[in-house]
Amino acid sequence: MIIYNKTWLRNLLIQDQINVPLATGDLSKEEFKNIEKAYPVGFYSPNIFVRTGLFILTCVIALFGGCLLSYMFWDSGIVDSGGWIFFLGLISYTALELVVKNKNHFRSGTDDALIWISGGLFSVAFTWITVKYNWYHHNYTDMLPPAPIVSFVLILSLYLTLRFADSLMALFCFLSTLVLAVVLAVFNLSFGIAIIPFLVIVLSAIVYYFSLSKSGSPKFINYLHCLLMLQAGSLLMLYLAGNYYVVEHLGNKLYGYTSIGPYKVPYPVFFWPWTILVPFIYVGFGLYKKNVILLRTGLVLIAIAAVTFKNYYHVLPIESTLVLFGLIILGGSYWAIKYLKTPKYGFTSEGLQEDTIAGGINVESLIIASTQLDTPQGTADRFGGGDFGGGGSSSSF
Amino acid sequence: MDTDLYKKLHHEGLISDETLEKIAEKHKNPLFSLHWELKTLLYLGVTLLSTGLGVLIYKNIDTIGHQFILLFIAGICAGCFVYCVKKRNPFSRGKVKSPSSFYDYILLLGCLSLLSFLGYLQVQYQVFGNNYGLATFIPMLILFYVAYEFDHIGVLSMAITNLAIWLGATITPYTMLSNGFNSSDPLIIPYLFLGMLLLAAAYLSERYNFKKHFKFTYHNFGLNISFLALLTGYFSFYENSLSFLWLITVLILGYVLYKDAFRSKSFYFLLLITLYTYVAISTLIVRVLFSMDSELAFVIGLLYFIGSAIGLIIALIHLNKKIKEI
Repeated sequence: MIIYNKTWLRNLLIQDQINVPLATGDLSKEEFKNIEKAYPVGFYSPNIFVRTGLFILTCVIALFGGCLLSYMFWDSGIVDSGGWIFFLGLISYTALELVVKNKNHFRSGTDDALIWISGGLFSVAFTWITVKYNWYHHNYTDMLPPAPIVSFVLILSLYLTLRFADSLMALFCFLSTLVLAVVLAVFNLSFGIAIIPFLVIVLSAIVYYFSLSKSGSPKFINYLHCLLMLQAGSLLMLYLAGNYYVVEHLGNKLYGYTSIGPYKVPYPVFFWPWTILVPFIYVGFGLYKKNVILLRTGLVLIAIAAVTFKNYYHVLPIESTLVLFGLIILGGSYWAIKYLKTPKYGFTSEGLQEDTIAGGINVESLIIASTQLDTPQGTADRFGGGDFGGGGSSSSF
Repeated sequence: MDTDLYKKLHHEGLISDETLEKIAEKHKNPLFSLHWELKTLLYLGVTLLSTGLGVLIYKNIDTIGHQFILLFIAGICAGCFVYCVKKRNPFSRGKVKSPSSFYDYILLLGCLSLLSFLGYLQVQYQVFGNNYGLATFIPMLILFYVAYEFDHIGVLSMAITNLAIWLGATITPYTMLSNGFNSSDPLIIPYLFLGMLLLAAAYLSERYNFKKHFKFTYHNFGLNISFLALLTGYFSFYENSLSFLWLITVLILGYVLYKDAFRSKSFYFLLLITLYTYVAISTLIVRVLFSMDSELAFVIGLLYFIGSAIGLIIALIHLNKKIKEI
């Protein structure tokens, strides 16, 4: 099913794995080179900058190529139909297969772009054709897409995931599964809307269990990245489905009331503890199991939980909250760094490898440069002459 | 974690006994690094605290509590700097290793609270009078000094941003008054100058081996600002018959930087230069085609974009190979 050379994929995994001891200095450079030679990888997978460049350029080619073809066949009148879009999708899919098979592209930017372009074109074509032939009756609201379209997207993304082992496509496939389940529940069950949160929670839990237990299995070894992405995605959805704010707003939308409307979240006894406690449970389990994905997702969700809580209960004004939490976080992490300086219980605060990406660029400095810039600008605004801004310099990132 | 892979590699004679032992030892006591998480938390803490303090002053100006808040900020700022002076490694022309990541973020916090403090002084007491140039010049000088003295790239980025603001603050009134430009944006020339200045700084840092590792930051800012200023210049003088000179400058600058990028083996800059010059050339071609205003021109335009994108892809792949070889 998978399009790539399986030996190379396995060799790539080996090479990825031996990068760790190489970075910590346990493996000598010579040994590393020998292993690379013994387990060769023939893929063309350039660094992130080339990948970005190729992605953009492939999109340019696809866009103008599509325009050119449409222009050439404009007079024949076949352009203005779903079939034409399907035809364009077919062309880009063929190009994708050729690039991957003949040129051995693997996560090179070109294949990334073509996967999404062909998938998008097929979906648009399907929607176009089915709408034209009046497949859908009027009971579909603006909120939810019709089930046949979602099913088509689901099958298509599942196929693309299996064929190209693309992790973002795997995530997309998971999300369309959730949407399909919700759509089916809402239209086929009288109490459908009421069970949406629980439906999503159960489905996400199943997907998480599946992706966690299969990520170590040799059978799914080529889909490792997909499974890791699914873990993060399902953990996120598992939480969001029970988040108080999300439940309230989705409820408002689906029941058709405005935000002032009388929709009240049922069972606040369930949803409030879920909103607050689940992130901490993630972090706890992440530390206990030493699972990076659980831990990081949990940390992000703690921030979301804090914002949600703040949105409903105003204990302190916003600025004092910021100062207070800033101090607590700074103090806490200072303590943790000090405490874990010498490793305890298998944890350490020291980096095991340098955090640089290809090209030897310090990631951290890029992040600071692109986010922290707003602060001095904000200060300058208060001087009164603030219509110039340093915006030109920061927007370029 | 499994050591099976390494046993297999050892069996095949690809790794030595010693290496296998070392790796097996590590696998027996696997270490879980919280480095990244803790760093993110530190960053988050610094951001929350400085934002919170900024809002706090802003809301409490003219109330009784504001002097207390001012004192609080001054205290934080002083505390940060005292901590950094105590912990720092001695100054050197090369790269000074930071004592800890906590130190880095405390220095950042110190600089941010210093900016808030100075901003507050200006608003409340007009210490710099109505001279907005001076009000931005002083913080900029301090930031540059701190960046070099304590060797902090984050602070350097802040200093460069402040330099841009200062330039805007000083030059805008004069250009507005003298009305030398009939353009919509009087800042193009100053920003072009700024970009060139930063590129020169990048060059000099490397040439005189003074904080060589700052080169990337200077170069990054300088390159983007220069190209953006040139392209903006072209579009705001679009009707002028000499406007193509802006694009010629883009090409010349692109060529000079291209040489430099090759020398320093930076594919990141190579990609940026390629894309900027591609935009410049394409706008010129599109303009010519527009002036032809025929159906043929439309087709040529489409063909041009398809062809040039394919050409660029090949060029990028080739450049990437070439840069790896040297």
